[in-house]
Amino acid sequence: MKDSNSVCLEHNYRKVFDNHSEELRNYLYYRCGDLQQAEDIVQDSFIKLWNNCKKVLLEKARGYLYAISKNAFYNEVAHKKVILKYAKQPQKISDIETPEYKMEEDEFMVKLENAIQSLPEGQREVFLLNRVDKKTYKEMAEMLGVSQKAIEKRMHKALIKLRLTIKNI
Amino acid sequence: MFEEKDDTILARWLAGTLTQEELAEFKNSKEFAEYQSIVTASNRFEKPAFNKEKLYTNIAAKRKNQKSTKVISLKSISYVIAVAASIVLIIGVFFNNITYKTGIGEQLAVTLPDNSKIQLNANSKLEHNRFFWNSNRNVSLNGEAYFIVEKGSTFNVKTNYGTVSVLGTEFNIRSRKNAYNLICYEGKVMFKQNKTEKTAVLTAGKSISIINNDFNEATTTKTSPSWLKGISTFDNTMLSDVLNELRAQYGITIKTNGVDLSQRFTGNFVHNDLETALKTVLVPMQIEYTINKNILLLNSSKE
Repeated sequence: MKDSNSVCLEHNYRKVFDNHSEELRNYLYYRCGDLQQAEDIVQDSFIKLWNNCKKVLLEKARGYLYAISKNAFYNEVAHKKVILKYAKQPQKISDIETPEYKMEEDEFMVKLENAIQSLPEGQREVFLLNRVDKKTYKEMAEMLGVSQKAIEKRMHKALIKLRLTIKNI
Repeated sequence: MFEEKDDTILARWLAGTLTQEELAEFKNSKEFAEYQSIVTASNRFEKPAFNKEKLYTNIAAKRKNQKSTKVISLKSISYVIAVAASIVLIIGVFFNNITYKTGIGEQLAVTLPDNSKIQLNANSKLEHNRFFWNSNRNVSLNGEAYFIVEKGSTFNVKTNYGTVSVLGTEFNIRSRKNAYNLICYEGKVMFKQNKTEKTAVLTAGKSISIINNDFNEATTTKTSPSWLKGISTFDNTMLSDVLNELRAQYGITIKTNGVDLSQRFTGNFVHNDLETALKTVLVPMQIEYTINKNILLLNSSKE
């Protein structure tokens, strides 16, 4: 390993933090629904990264962080509801007719939130990382260490489940 | 239903990678509006607030804190213990032996861990374990030594010829090149020959010599070996053996010039006067000799 690429160098370590701390926190939040817990796990993961900075290559730091974080979940029990704020002013919705949703928009948002809540966590994290954090399938595949195809399948299932859940409510 | 066409088609729609035909077909399906609503609504979600600087400060503080109380992993502790144990073991293996050596004409008094006294004659070597005497009561001897063993103490004396097991006794072992002689002065010892595993038990006043692998038993009335007083005594001993002892006591080089070394010698020589010693050995054997510096030349006067 070239010294200039060492995670032990503060500026490299900081770069890893700048690039990945938020997406990691959000990923953890979408999984456990507890912001504080998510941030605690982010903290612990970054401290572990620092302690093992000699063993982790810079380009592998992201994967290392996710692996450590996932392990942390084995010790976590509580799962809380993922609560997301949403823009009060709805974006200009397309002019397409939506006859089946003649409800108030906020009411729909609540239903959607509840439906997201009922998703299996694998589907929920993929859906939210894509819709909220604008992560591409490829990026998520790298982050979570699975194939892009697996991410696409999860997204596909998530959309179907959301539609059916909202409809049945 | 469109969504059942394959298991990733909705994901590809969301990523905008459907073909024109697929997209057209999807837009015509009755579920399309519902999916569109979900996607549109989900775009309104905002990322949860994230205070990056605060989090980084926390991490930096924790990183510093743990430096003073850095956790040493069990793995590295056990590594240190393993290294330390190895060093102790190496010391134990390589420095466990105590060796006593005497040079030409020297004698040395040795005390064993059990307080047994050993007198080491010239040109001899005695070894025993520094540690764990109780579990390994073995002494190895090359040369001649007189043992006064503490009562109730047992140990073994190993030589090239065999092992002597002792039990609170006094005895003398002479284990030289081509010569082995064991004399028991007090108590009882058992000798076990290396080659044949033959054993012999010696009581006080008995002695054995090994000649051609056979035990040659004899008796003595002495109570201690004469060499302790500076005199080597021989009884019906091969000349070669006597000459060896002269070498051990005086450090001389001997050129035998065809003299018959198998003839027997009974008598003694002193350790402190080479002229006298040579006279007492060689004159009765009718061997002419000259001594020049440290070189002894023999001439058999019989021939």
